[in-house]
Amino acid sequence: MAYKVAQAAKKALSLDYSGANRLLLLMTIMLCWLIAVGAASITIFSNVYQVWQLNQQGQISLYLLPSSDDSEIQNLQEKLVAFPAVSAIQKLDQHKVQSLLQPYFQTTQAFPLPVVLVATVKPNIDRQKFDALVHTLAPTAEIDDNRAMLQVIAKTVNLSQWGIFVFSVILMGIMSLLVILTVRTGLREQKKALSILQFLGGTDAFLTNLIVRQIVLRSLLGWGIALCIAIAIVVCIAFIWPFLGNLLTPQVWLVLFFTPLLLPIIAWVTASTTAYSIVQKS
Amino acid sequence: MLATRVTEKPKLSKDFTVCECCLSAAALHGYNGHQSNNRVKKDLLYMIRFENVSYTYPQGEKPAVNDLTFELPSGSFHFLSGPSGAGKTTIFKMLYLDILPTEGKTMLLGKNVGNLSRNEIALLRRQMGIVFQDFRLLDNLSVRENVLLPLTLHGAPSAEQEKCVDEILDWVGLGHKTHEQPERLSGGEKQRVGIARAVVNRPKLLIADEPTGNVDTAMGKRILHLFCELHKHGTTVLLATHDRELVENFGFPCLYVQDGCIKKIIPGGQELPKQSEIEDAA
Repeated sequence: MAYKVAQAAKKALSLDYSGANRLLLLMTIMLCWLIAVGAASITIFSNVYQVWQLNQQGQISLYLLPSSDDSEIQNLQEKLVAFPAVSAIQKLDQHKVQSLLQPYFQTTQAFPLPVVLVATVKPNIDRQKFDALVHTLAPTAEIDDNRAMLQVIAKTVNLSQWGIFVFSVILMGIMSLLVILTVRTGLREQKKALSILQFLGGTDAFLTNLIVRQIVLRSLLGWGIALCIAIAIVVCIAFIWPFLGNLLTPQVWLVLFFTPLLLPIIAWVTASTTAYSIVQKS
Repeated sequence: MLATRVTEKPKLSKDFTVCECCLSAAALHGYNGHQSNNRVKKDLLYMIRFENVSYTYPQGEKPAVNDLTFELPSGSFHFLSGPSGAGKTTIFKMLYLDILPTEGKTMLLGKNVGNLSRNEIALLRRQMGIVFQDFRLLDNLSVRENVLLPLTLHGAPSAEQEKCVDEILDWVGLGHKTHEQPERLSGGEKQRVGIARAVVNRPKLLIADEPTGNVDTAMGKRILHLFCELHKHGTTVLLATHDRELVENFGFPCLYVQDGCIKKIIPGGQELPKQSEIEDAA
């Protein structure tokens, strides 16, 4: 019975008759889906980038001339292993070197292969001293310095994160505008009901709450539908490309679930302020 | 301008005479005769108290209500009559707090409405029943839901609400039309729904603006009998009507309004003056 009574008040000030209300549901589904999938993709991308960055920072490749003799290589290996923050040094076999260089020399198979040493290092390595030691022991050696590339990629990642932030702000703005439009048009159509409820003794807070409840419930419904669609898509992708499935960490799922909740929160805040100001002016 | 005091003034100690229902109304307001001064007693014992009240519409040149002074004691029944454009509707708008006087002081149920916040105005309206000439029913709600509306604002227990609504609808003779939509009802039925809605929360003050304006004479009398029954239970009733026959037959005093002020108080059972007589007296 209490449900029935509450229904009478809810029905009196229902926004269901407003076309903008249906648009709100559709747009909430779209925006929530976009945010869910976008945020999950960014998290996966960020995780992949972090792993790659750690790998890049943890390895230094040294290229020696093909004519380098074994004693020189042996000496270099021994000295470098003893260097602080170097964990290990490994000489790549010729097949692996060939496969690494193959893409750059597609026209010929007959090229002299350099000797490649891969040093596994800790992040606190002193690169200047390390480079100086290598040049002392093997003056012709080339050191693979990927710091510039890492910086470029880091900047790109930062930029893309800012881009996503700006995009999110735009989405939130769209959501706010939609809610304002829905509340305004809805209350314009329900002007008579609003005035009757006021004459019956409805307080501003009570009337605002009637409107806000509808907006929040609708945006939560939109969130739920969008979430179901997003989960279905992610599961399908993981099924089709299993290697992507490995990237779906708990963090990715959390982001997928909770980031789109931002839109119902925005809807709640916007609906509260808009409805309250309209009710007060009426 | 004619300052007016209604003849059925209650008696209290040396200064006032009070009937039983007025005392109970005073008790409801927390009045304690031994502690309060006469001014406070006066405010509490009168449901409506206008002191030199004037109202000019924003675009109006002359005031719609001009220096109006009158008081209605708790538990009384009065008609408000007068020609079209005399200011009856403006007085009613001030009574249901749609507009506030531009000058003077209005006391309703012991409260100075000039000092009330929006929230307090809403709470005060909950103690009043308002019957509009144009019914002001919500077409998207059933008869039952329309009558339930004031109770949803009160938060009363649901079983009590259901019982109360059924009783009221039976009382106004619409027990068999509870699930009908208002648009399918006749004018008299709509007016009875409006009355049921106005009295469902047992108001202390009932104001009705031309409740018989849109119904035939027989239905008008039937509606008046409903108001009389409410009056017997202690509700203060103020009823605006053009219908001379109703005013003369029902034997309650009538406030005759013209040019925005009360020109004459006509005791119960007496004939209403003709327009020319009023003009001559003025």
